[in-house]
Order: sequence, then structure tokens, then C-alpha cells
Amino acid sequence: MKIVMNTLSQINGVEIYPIISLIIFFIFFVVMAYFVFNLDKGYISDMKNMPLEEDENDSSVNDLENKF
Amino acid sequence: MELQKFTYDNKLSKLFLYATVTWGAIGLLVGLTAAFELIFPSWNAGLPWLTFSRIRPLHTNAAIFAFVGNAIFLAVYYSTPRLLKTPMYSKLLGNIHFWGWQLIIVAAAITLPLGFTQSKEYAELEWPIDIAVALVWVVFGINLIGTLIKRRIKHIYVAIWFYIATWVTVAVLYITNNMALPVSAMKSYSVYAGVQDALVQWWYGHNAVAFFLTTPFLGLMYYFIPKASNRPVYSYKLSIIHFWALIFLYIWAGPHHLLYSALPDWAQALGVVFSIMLLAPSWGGMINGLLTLRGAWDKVREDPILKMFVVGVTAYGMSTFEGPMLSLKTVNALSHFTDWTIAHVHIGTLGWNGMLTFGMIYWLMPRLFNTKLYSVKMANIHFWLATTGMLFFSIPLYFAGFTQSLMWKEFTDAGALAYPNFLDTVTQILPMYAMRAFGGSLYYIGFILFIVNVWKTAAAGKFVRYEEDSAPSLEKAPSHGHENWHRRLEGMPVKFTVAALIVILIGGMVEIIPMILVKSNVPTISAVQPYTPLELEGRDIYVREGCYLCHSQQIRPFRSEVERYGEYSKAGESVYDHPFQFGSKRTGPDLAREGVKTLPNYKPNSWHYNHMLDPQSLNPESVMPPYPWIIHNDLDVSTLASKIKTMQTLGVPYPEGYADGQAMKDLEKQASEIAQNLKDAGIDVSSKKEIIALIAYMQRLGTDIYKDGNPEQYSSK
Repeated sequence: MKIVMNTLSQINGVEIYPIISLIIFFIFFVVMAYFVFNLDKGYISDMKNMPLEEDENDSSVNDLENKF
Repeated sequence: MELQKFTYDNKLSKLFLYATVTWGAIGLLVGLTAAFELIFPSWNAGLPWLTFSRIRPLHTNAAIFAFVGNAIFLAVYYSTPRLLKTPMYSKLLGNIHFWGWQLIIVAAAITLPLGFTQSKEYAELEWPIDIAVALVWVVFGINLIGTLIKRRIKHIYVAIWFYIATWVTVAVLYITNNMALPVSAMKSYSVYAGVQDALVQWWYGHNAVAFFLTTPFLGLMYYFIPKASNRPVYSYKLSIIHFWALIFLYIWAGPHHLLYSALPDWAQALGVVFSIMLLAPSWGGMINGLLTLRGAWDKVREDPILKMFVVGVTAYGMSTFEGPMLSLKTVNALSHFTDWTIAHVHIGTLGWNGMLTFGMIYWLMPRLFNTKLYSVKMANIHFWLATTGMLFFSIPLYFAGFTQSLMWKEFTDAGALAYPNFLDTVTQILPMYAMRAFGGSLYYIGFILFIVNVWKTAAAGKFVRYEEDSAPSLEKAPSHGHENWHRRLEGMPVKFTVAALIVILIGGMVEIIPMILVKSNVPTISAVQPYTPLELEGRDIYVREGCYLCHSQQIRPFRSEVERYGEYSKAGESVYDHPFQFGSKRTGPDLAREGVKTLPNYKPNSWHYNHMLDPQSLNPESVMPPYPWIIHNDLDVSTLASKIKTMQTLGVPYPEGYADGQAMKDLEKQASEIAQNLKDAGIDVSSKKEIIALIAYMQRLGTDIYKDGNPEQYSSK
């Protein structure tokens, strides 16, 4: 392993890579969580019900009930 | 509000459904055959295309790209128009997508058993097929994004985000990993070599699991579980958070496939940390899926569709818990190269992908054919066969992996390996291999019931090609006043796609760019030289036969491995390996130092000859299949010059003009020496046979740093 580690140490600041990536993720995550928790309830409720809505307005010629 | 009328066309959904069932039956049958071949190695009947190492890639590719792939497209083509209130963008593109994808699968099913392979797991397909995959994938993307653009709904439901992330990431992964220079119509060399190639491959390999087997199925889950249970998803906020966290984190986790390898420590550490963090968004998805069924558990007891969804999502939770655990270095030291990994991935594919696909198709069949499901009872039996089959498959393999690994690592009190003969550790776990084949058989019987049920339902009903629906146009779609950034983002599909792309590229670049720098900085070990022309031809036979599927070429820096196989593998040793041959599984012993005469595992040329012809004549309990055709086939040297030139283009330092003439002379000279050596051992064989080249390659393996008898000197550099 040393063979590569010694090589890598020649790349300026390579040891910072994992730390940078953690920081990028952390900031990204916190900002996202902040916005998500501030979403309005009407919107959330609309989005949640989106897959179910089509059944209500379903104008298909076929009865989709009791298919099972 | 004025409503616009439009029609959903179910034709492509039906075609993808049939393709899923058909390829599932074939892919699983090939897997079952492979499982039995590990117990009965002579089952290949001396036929190349039926041999374990040739059909194993066929099984994995068929299961992933044919069975799961078609299931993904079924889910996308059915749910996307309904969620966006518009038909798919283009019927023509849809047809090109469907038929193009099936042709690719047929091409894979023909070429892989014939030995045309790039030898990178789940990326074995050769370059012309890769180009076809890329083109069809672009067609799919245009159709998906086109549909998004002409939608009648302002905001895009979470299932579709997962489809978008799938499309954009698979495109990036597939193209990056398959960068190769063609040698001939069906042969190419990876542009990456050794450690760098390994990192790119497992960055791809891991994210193929993430973005082909996971994200599209989360999309499927977010659509079909609410539909089947008639309940909205448990938490929409959780779905947003876990979507972004998942696609952000997954992309970094690839290096956990290369722990203790010659990959740099920082990259290994990065892979481990992100793999552990991945547990959170993965379980976010699982919890969201299971809690969607809250209050519907009475239905789960009776409804086989919901049962399948519950077991599928639970299997997802199990394998995404296990994944981070396996990426811990201490656990990985034990689990890697063993059957543990095979058990782990099958919880994912049989449980998560299989069960969700079955549930989805059982739910769709009555709706697509306007009838009742042929037999709910049969679906229930299928559920139980699939569940017990999955457990019978995986649990014995967990034991097998654990047992074999401990045997590899055990020392006697005197300090010698307790099981120096690798074969002892194989015979110990053969009963577990038999149980795995039994579990696979149960799963397959269930699948046959599934086929019957689908067939009978289709026969009893009448296909509903068109369904009408209506919705206001997008300009008139209801909005909710002030919008924050995420809601705006959802309203802009192209920008959403770009955002997802940026998120996955950050991880990809942080991983890959330093590795490219590493390559130019790896201190070349002067003792490491390019392969001779004969060895290069032998290596291509090794690749063609899929030896890497059962034999690793990567000795980890453990006492037990150094004792058994010799000095641990260095990054500088594989700089001319296009593609790398580290392998991921040791059904047989590691071969990284197979050619080193001073090591205990060394075998003479005559041994290799007899072993390829009939492994059981040397080791009666061996599970290696016979490869008699390598003995009989003439070596095809027609592309030698092209191979050398391609390698030169890739930076392998053969002398200028070597390909034209001298290479062939060197090949013939080395071949006659080996043939003479075999003759001295009582084996009369022409120097023009494939076996000569393969022996040349095997005897070269790992020898470079042993040339001056002091391999340890390279550890301190």
C-alpha cells in the first residue's frame, strides 16, 4: 500500500479529498432538509395523492375495480 | 376548467411485460444451470458455450439487463404517462427502444457463451453491442424527457425523479466504464489498466446496482405500492430527502469492492465512509415503502401482491443493511472473494427486484387484459415458493462464505496454514452449494407458476390497448402560490435532469480524477515488463473463458494470503493489464503468482495441460469444469499485430515496429519451447495449439517482481 500512498502524497493535498467530499455532502444535505421541511402542506398532499388521483377521474371504458 | 382528452397506449407496456417474463425465465434457468454446474462440473459435457465461466456472465447480464431491465421499462412506460397525464412522447421511439433492447439481449445471449467478453463484470458485452446499448439508451432518454416536456401536470411525482436519475446516471456509468479500443470486430482492450481499470469498473459495478437495480425500482415502488394498497406514500418529504441523499451518496461507494487491494488507501476509506452513510437514505426508502402499508396490514394477509411488495421491500432493507456492513474493512477481510457476496446480491435480486416485479405484473395483468387474475391461489403459492427459495438460496451461502473464509485464514499452532490445499475449503462447502441449487429450484418452480398465471390471465381476457383520460393543459394546471426551489426544479424536467447529473458527477469526479493522476505517477516497477506476444494471446484466452469469474489475481496483504499465494499484489504490477483481472470471487485459488516457481502453488506445464483437459483426473473432488477445446483448438494469431498495435496506442511499451514481424517470431519461438517442455514430460502437442499460449500466460503470472528473488523490496518503495 505504501507504494501508492507515497505516490499519492505527491499529488498536492490528496488527503483532503475525503474531507472535501464529506463537507460537500453535509452542506448539500442540510440545505436540502431545510427546504424540504418548509414545503407547504397542500403541495405535499397533492403530490402524495398523485398516483391515486387517476383512478378517481378515470374515464377508461373499463371498470378497474374488483380486478383481483 | 377545460379538460383535454388523450389516450394511453398500452401496447409497449404489454410488450415489455412479455419480455420481462420471457427473459426472466431464460436468465433464471441459466443461473440454475450454473448453480448445478458448481456441484456437477462435468455438466458442461465438454461444450465451451455450456461451461460455467461462459454462462455465468450470461446469467448476470440476463438477470440484470433482460429481466430487471424490461421490468424497469414496463414500469416506466406504464406509470410515466399516467403520472404526467399525457401519452408517451413518441410511439416510434418507444418501438425502437423495445426492439433495440431485445436485439441487444439476443446479441448478448449469443456472444457471451461464445466467449466474446470484455471480462468486466456486468459490462462483459463487446464494443459493437456497447454502442448499440448507448444508442438505445439515448432513444429511451429522448422518449422519457420528451414525455416530461409535454406533460399536463406541473410537478413531477417522486417515482419519475428516480426514473430520471436512472437514465442520466446509467448513461454516464456505462459509457465511462466501456471506453475501449477495438482490436477486431468483436474484441477490444479497455483504455484503462490495472488499478485504474479496477476502480472504474467497480465504480460502474456498484452504481449499476444503485442505478439499475435500485433507483428505478424505488420509482416502481413509489407508484405501484400506493396503487396496490390504495394509499398514498407514507411521507413525501422523506421521499425527497432520501432521493437526493441516495443518488448523492451511492456514487462514492464503489471502492468498497476493492478493499485491501492495490487501490490507494484514501479511495478505500472514501468508499467505506460513504457506504456506511448510505444506510440512512436506503432505509429511508424502505421505511417509506413499508409504512405506506400502515393500516392495510389486514389486506397484506390475503393479497399476494402486497405480500410480494412487503417481502421485496424488506429484502431491500436487508441487503442495504448488509451492504454497509460488508464494506467495513474488518468484515470485508472475511467476506470478500467468498460466497457471502453471492448470497448478498441474491437477496437483492431475488427479493427486491424479483418480488417487486412479480407484484407489479400480478397487479397489471388484470388491468391490461380487463379480466380477473387467473388464479390468486397460484400467485400465493408463487409467493411462498419465491420467499422460501430465496432463503434456501442465501442462508447456506452465508454459511459457505463464512466457513470457507475462516478455513483460508486458519493457522496451526506451529504457524502453518491449517488448510494449505485450497480444495479442502471447497469440498467443505459443497453441501451448501447443493442447498443453494435447491433454493434456486424452488424459486424457479414459483416462476413457472407465474408464467402460467400470466399466460392464462392473458388468454382469458381481452387486451385493453387504449385507455382514455383527460386533464387540463399544463398552463392551466393548479399551482400553489409561492414556490420554493425544489418545487420550481420539479417543474423544469431538463434542469432537474441536469441537477441530478451534477450531483452524481461530483462523486464520480472526486473518485476518478485522482486515479487518473495516480496512473501517471505510479512509479513503474522496472522489473514489470509487457506480456510477450504468446502470453498476450494466452491472456485473451483466459479472458475469453471467463477464468476471472472463479480465480482472483489480487493477493491481499494478510499473513494468510501471503503465506498461501506469495507476496501481496502491488499497484505497479498490473500497469499493462488492459483490462485488469483482479476478479471478485475465489471459487478456485488466487492465480496472481501462479507462475512463480519458488512458491508452494507452482505447477509445471504438464500439470496445466492435464488440468485443462480433465481437472478431476488430478483432483477428483475439484469443481473446475474441463476445457478440452483449449487443448484441441489451434491458436488464432491473425489479430496479433493489431493487438500489439492497440496495446502500443494504450501506452504499453513494445518496441517501435514490433507488431510487424518480430512479434510473430517471438511468439513462435516461445511456443516451441513450451511444446518441447511438454514433450519432455511425455505430452506430444503441437506448438500451435491454444493451450500453449494459455500455459505461457499462466507461467508468467506474478513472476516479474520475483525475478531477482527479492519481492519484498517493492513493498518499501
